[in-house]
Amino acid sequence: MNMPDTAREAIAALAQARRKDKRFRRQLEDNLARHQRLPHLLRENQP
Amino acid sequence: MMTELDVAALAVIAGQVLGTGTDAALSQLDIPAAEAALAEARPAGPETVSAASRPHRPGSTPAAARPDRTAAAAAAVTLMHALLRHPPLPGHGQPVATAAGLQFLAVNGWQADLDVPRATAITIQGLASGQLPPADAASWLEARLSPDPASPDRATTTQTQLPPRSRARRIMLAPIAAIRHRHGSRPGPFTISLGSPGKPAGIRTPATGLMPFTDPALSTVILSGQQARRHGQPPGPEHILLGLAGQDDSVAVKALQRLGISQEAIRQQAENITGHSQPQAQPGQAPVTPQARRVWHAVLDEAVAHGDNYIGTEHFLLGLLCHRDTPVVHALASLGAEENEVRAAITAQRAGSGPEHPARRHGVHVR
Repeated sequence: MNMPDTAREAIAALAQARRKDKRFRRQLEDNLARHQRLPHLLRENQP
Repeated sequence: MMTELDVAALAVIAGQVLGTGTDAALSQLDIPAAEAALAEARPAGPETVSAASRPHRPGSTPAAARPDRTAAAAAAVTLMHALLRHPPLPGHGQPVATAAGLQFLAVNGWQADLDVPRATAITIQGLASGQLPPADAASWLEARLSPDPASPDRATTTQTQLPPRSRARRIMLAPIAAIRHRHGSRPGPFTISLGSPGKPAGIRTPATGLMPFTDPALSTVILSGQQARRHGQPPGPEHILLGLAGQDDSVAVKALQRLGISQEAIRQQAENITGHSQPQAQPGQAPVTPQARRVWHAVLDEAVAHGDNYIGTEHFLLGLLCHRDTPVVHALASLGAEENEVRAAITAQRAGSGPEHPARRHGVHVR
């Protein structure tokens, strides 16, 4: 296991905690639900 | 005190916005870029707290006192700007940066209402390309923030107010003209002027100054007010639709005609809605409904998004369609006027006959 793998695993553990965070998840889902079209338009913007 | 996002949060956000899930996003995450962006966004001094550094309570994001609106907008734009400069997922910089900015605002108790996606996309593009200074983007965002009603600390916050107008603020907003549109910010307050001798009619905001109505747009506004009074109702979106229906030579009506929709059909649909609305206006008063106010904001945004420095009927029509699940949207949809079709028809109409032009005459003009 190299250093980047270790870092990625540590981040994965934190990400898991984030996903279990109900408020964080609700806020994220609400934001994306209220701005459904925006990501598509922004993807079109990408150079 | 602000609550920061960390790399793990970025992975979750990226997985959600791209629809790949967290694990896939994490496997593609450019961790050094993510860390560089977060470091760049982190202000010097003890004014932020990393959510990750707080004791984690399962099921709950740690709540801090909500920062003020100006500071929240500035910090969110700084984060987005940093993520655009150091995209943690190459090829997806803009959607990830925007979603991260929105989430940053949410964890700090603010909700952004970016209800005109096209205008928002242009703004993000300007920020990404360097044509829109972050300070201007922050002013733009600030006007669209409202306290998150679900935020646990909302009772501790004061009523939000836009910062006072100032010469410095107007000057700061001026460079927005360098990007695609002339008027790049839409602060909350605006006034609608029907004109007077020597003064043109239009919408005035502190940042944009006067955006004059075209002749048919001015007639739309006047007619919508007349229709509201006729029905004894406060001016609402349905009255704006009635006003639009009366503009024979307008871009909006011609665009709808391209979709096979007649003025009479529009009028009938709008009349159906007004027939179901309860009279609420008090004698001598004509308060604008909250729905109409949102339409007016959307009208301004549509003008900005099109790079126009005036308000035309096409902006009204698109403004009416910006908010889903309203009676007017349903009425137009029942006629076959869905938003995408209407946008395409307006584009075609403007390409064919040209856009409407600002009214040359001053003062009230009713056709």
